[in-house]
Amino acid sequence: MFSRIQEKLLACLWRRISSTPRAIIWCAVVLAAAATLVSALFLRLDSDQDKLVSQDLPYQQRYLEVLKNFGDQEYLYIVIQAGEGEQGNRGAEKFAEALAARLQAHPDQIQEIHYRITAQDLGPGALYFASLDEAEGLADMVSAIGPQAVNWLRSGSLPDLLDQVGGLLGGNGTDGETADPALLEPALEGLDGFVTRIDQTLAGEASEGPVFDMTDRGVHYFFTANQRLLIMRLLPAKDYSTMDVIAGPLATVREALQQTRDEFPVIQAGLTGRPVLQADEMATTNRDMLRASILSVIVVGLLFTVVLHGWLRPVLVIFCLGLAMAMTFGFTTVTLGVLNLLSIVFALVLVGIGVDFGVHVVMRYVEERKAGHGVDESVRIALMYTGPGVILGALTSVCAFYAVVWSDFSGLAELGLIGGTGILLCLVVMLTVLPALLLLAGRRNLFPKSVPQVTALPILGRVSARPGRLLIVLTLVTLVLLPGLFKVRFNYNLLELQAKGLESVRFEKRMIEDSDESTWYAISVAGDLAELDEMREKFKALPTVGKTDSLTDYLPQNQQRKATLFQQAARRIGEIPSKPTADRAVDAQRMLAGMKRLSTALDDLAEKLFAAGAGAELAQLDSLIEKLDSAYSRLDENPSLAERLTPLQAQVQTDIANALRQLRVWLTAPPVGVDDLPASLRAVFIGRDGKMQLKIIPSQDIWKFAKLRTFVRDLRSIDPQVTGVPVSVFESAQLMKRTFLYAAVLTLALVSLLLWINARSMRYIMLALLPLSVGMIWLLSLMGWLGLNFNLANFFAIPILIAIGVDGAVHFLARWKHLRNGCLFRTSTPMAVTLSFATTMIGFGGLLFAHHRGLASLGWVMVIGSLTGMLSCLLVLPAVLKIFRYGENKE
Amino acid sequence: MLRYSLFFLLFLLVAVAPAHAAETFDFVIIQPGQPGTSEDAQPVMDSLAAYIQEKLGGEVAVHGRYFNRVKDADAYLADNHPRWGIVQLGYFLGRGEASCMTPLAATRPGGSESDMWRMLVVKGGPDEWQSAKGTVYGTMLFQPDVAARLLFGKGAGDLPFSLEGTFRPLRALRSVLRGKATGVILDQPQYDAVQSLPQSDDLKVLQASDPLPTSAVVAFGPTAEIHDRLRGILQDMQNDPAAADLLQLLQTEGFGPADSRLETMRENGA
Repeated sequence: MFSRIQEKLLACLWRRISSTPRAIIWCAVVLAAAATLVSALFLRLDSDQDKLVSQDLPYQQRYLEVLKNFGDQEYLYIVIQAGEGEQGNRGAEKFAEALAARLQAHPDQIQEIHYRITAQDLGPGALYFASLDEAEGLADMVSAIGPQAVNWLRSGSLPDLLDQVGGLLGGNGTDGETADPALLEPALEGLDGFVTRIDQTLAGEASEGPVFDMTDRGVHYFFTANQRLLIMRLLPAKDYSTMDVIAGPLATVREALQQTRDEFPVIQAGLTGRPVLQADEMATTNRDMLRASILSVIVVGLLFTVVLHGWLRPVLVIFCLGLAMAMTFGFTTVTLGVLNLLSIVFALVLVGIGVDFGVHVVMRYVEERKAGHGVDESVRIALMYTGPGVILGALTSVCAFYAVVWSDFSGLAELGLIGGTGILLCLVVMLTVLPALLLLAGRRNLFPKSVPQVTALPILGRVSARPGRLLIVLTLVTLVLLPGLFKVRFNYNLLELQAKGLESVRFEKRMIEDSDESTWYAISVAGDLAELDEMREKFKALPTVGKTDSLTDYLPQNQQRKATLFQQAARRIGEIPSKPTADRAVDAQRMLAGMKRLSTALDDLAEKLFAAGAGAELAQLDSLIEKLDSAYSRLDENPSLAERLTPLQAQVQTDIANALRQLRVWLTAPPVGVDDLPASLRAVFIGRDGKMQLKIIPSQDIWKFAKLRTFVRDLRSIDPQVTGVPVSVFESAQLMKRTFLYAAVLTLALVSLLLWINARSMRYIMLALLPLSVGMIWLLSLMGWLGLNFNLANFFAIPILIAIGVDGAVHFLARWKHLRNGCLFRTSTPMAVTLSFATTMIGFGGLLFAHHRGLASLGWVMVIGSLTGMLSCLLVLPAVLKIFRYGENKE
Repeated sequence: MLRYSLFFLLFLLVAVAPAHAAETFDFVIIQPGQPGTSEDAQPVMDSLAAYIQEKLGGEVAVHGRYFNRVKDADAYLADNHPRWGIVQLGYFLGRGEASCMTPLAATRPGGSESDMWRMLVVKGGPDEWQSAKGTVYGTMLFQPDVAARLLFGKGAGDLPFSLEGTFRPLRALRSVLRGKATGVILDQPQYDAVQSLPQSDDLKVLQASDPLPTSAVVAFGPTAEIHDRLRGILQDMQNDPAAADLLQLLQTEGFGPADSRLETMRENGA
């Protein structure tokens, strides 16, 4: 019945085509033009990866809720490798400062930059953030220096200040051995600024602003716990209407990074983070796809030109494909209005599959023309006899795509809908417009006069002349290959899909190996502080958790002890004079004596540093001594210059008074609570609804799926509602695998159903599925021997291979049945089937050279799968048909 | 009876009293020419003493002293009997035999197992040490004969210039640059530090020693089991976070096994 309907439909179609070929062509062209216009005006791209999965899934809902509540926190990470020791850290800090300065010039592209925190950022309770040891050292130092500074304010004389500083450095009044050596560098920096100002003032060079500024003190840079890496986090502006979302910010960051690398050639730094990895993946994918497409178009074009003889027939097929694609774009615009990151590849799918329909029609037309039939008769035969096979083949491919339409994996579901419909549109165009074009071109004698030579594969006829022997050989080959089948695994590691040598991948791995940080972290949400603390402790106890990051992690420890120390130190400072001391002229001789004493103290310090081999500090000190000597010489030569120092003296009085007041504010501040933490921190950790997030960073490399599974399982044992990138990736990867498996099984079932409807014969179904089954066994066996595993990029090849694997068998069976004499290899059908598989192989073959390892593996699976499918179709099926004498008992 | 009573008291005094006295395991650090004073360094000595005492289980009392003048160190050793110490190479070779020093371990200044001494002069100065005249300064020159043999293979009196110990090698270096001194001899950390200064471009190395042992940890007098324990404690310090600050103050990255070159050099009369 199905056959009769098909026959009637095709006969009706032929009547229409033969009578009004121009009308059919113009209708298609107008429809395609309208579709193109509509698509150009209304079709948009949404490259938001979060929308690839159904928003109704509970884990995705939780993730989106967290994103909405706490804002976008998908950062770019600059990883700066610190050199050895303090000096190395200072180098990394300078690199970060230089880079930050460059990036701050682009607020429209880089919305946030986090790499350090200053005392000013931390508010009045800043000192509580010091460690207990540091707090004790600080309190001791304030106790020793504070009263002297207050005393000095009472006189306010610059020579006295130099005298006091010299005394302090010489060890008078303080216990120099207990001072923290880490304070030496900032102390020298402060002193350097002070002495520079004296020298500049004496030289008559104008300089303004404070001499001692407390606002830039207490800077804490975000080093990893082992101090090896300094991590900068950047929040880029995102544009989801472009393919690469962060292309602009990424280019800006990379340019700034390169300029900073040029400025600090010894420091290694690189860019990573999920958005960068995704952008790099997109860039390498696009580049690889473009190369693959150009290569395949050239090779397929050459092949078509040889097989289809001349350029016109291939052009007609490609023209029809173009019409079908335009219509598919129109369909997408009308139904979905948007293309996502997966559905955008539908065009490639149509090139791979849709073109095959045209190949079968044209090959049969060529065969009939070669046999001496006229143009009209050749087109009619091509349509009437190839049409059923083309329709059945197209429907099997449609099944593979429509099988995923109801999946929760929205990205794939949309690709399924667009790809499946696109194939249907290809079918319609190839069975209407292409015959009409062949008719018009043939009638006008536009095709070459000579007939194509390569239309049959008689050599294969000789190979399958002894089908029993051929099948025995193939069975033996299969048995030899079979152990490889059991070696194939599924690899979930997304990092291993990326191109080798990418900077983002290299620095991601360095972060994993060299630090307690990760660009992937899970998120748990707590209603209040008590709940947050409870969860934090539970998560910290898990072996799979490296560290947690929450507001309470930023609350200082031992605050009561520190408060006592600070209060004692504040009392030691005493009363700060309320107004600066009146300006008095600076006495030149006293100034010279003060400088002399300071110089002697610095000299002593330099000797100690020299003995200890502290080269960097020594160089800093040497430069300071040089400036002091310069100032001394100027004043010694011309004592009247001392009057220039009077305004500087006033400035220093103001600065020191301000610094002491600031210090008192810090020392007398009450212990820090959550509400006192900096607004920037609170914005990260407190959501719009007042709930608090707890970031959970893994202790292991969770790019490895087994470790990701354990991590997520552990977290869920504490909080079943836990979310974040690791949870999403874990769930999405499993969803993808489930979807692909489901699609493969459903495709197989639907294809079998279609075959049943077409032939109502189990034997037909078995025979149609035979090349596919054998081809799949060969594919899996070869994959095992070649060490090629399935992954999230190449698994989609399986439903496509199922569809095209059945396609060849359907054409063979139809032609075999029609021939009845077994001379299949004298016809154009094997060549058409070979050409179909060859176009698929060539199309995906370009991917073999892809840098993106996921794409390359997809290329390998498609090429090997098409090859095994083709060989099994050409060798196994005809041999089996001969042995079973298929078709001979009928009619 | 009185005689028996006296014998009994004497027995108590000789045999029992030491058993009740706490054992001491004092040390001394002798670094001639290093900056500072004994008083400045005492907090560091106390910290090291407390660390060692704690690691030894608190069963012995440990006290330490620091000397940067040979005369003071000699005087102290004449009147006191520290059990161990850290001594500069020159002092070990000059006084090692007399003070019965046995190497236990070696320091690692800057992480290095060896030191090297270099004689520096201004670039326009003599091209070989035999042509140098005047005075050459250095922190290791408080034992001038030892230093002369290690660096020039001759006694100090056989050199064409005089050697003088200094506590201020940087000032001596500046004197050399100003032409007020002939040269300066620097050990490895000092030489490394000079490389960070712009003035290093105006200097040249006239003579360099062979690689030399670093300052040694030594036992004074006969060694005992406690010295072995000390050696283990010192060698473990670089892996102990609690010792990090202490090592920094002692200007060493840690301690390694005793340098076998010390005994050879002492036997050869270096």
